[in-house]
Amino acid sequence: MTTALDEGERWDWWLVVGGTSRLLPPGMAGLIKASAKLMLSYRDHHWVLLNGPSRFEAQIEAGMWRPEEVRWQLSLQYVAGGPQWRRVKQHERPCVDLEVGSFHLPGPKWTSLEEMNYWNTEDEESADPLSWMLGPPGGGYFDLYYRESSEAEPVMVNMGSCNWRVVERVGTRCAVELAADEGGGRLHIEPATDEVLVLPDGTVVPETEPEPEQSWKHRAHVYAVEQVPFGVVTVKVPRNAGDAAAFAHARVRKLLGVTRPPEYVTVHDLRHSEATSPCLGDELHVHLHYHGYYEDT
Amino acid sequence: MSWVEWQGETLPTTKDIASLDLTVEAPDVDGPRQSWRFELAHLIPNRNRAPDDWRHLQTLNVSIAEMGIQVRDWRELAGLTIRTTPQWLAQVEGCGPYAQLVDPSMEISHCKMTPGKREFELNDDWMSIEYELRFGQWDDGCLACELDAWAVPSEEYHRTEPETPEELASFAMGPPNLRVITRAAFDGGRIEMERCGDDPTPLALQRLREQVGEVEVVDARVHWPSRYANGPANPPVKEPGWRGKVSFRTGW
Repeated sequence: MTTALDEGERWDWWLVVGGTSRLLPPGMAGLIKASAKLMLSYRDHHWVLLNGPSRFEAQIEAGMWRPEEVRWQLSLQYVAGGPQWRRVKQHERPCVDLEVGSFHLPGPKWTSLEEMNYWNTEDEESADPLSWMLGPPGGGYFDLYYRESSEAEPVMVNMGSCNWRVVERVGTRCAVELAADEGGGRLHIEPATDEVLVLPDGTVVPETEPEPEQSWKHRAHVYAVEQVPFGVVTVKVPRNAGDAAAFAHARVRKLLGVTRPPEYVTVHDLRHSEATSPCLGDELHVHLHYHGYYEDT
Repeated sequence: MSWVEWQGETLPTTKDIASLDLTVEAPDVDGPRQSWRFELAHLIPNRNRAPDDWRHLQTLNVSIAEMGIQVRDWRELAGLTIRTTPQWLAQVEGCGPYAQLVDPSMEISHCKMTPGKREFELNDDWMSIEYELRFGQWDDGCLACELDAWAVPSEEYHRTEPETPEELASFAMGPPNLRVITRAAFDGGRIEMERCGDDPTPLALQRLREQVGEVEVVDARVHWPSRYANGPANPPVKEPGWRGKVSFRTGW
């Protein structure tokens, strides 16, 4: 498996030419059907994934010294699509954000993202009434934010844990599958059965395959399959570091095994922008962008 | 040559041509790789103007910021028709690399100036998502093109509720209120680049060839954006070798 963030190796570019296909790219089919459609099934809208904010992110705090301490987050953001919305501004359409936060990787490098598998596993933490004291469940906290319109009251659901897994990683992109129920806790997802209609004379009637969005409606409140890039690492850097970006990159190299320099770096001095008084734990926030550059300001 | 009929009135013909501008997105970001922009400035000159008077008596600008098309060769634009039916919109639906949806809507800005006075007689903005843009054949670096659009005032254009199937089905009813016959030139654009050394120009031009075929480039320039930072100890850095873009002009 290529680790495209290692120095001296090429990125694995997806050269999508001549269209805006939303199919899972070849070579990233894994356990998901080869022709799997990238999509979200939630309520009755047709959803379009927002590139940029949809990504894996890592956060390295000052006191983290081991790779397994690094906190990770998976974000998927969508907005309603379809021709019927053509005259409604993007920010006024229904939108939904899915977030799996505060999970840790099993291995010492960022590439162990590909080992993340919380699909049909036992959710022991949610059975324990004191689970909140134990920290985040193994697969992280799952949160859902839904807003029907810019004027509607948003719906925020903390669902605890969810079913999610990285089916495959190619370069810096992971094929992610996620399913959740609004009741919270992990679901046991039965594989879809291929029902066949046979007439009394033995004739097999070919059944038209339902759209994946529809077939998931009765199996989980939320179901998503997407190709998600490794996007951003935020490093908290001591104010007295000589070169904040170099310090941050060294931390990422040590804790995540990323040797390739980032595509873009932003340094945020919160003390400067918020005019707060200095204190000892007052660090610079350095964002290292490994997947293009997008920052939601 | 640019011929325009707007709201039933034929404006004086001018020598303006439309421009086709291409952005090739970097390959490490998601979304469509090509973003084509169509722009026409139909400018009716004020021929008897005093030195401090308006340069134009009337202007009509037509802009499609994102045409929603992907081509393997720029020559394929010849003979292409974009008819923005709901079915076509569904086909080109997607999201660019920076969380903005592909939006092929058209903006029309119409201004009439009052000669001798620094004031507008008219300054209207219109929008359309129902139009047909037809390209003819290439001729001397330009593409013949015709446009019919059904536009509405911009303040009436945006809605807060989705359209009904009946509203969508009534596509392009009645005669268009904007008709244009002009020529369009593919005159340049930009190539967004990932980190690839101190001079991304050769790779950028190779990417341009891979995306839209051989293009006669007469000018290519590298632009290095500032790396964002705030606070006195972290001044913005503008340095070669980071993510940048290469703008280019074609020979047409």
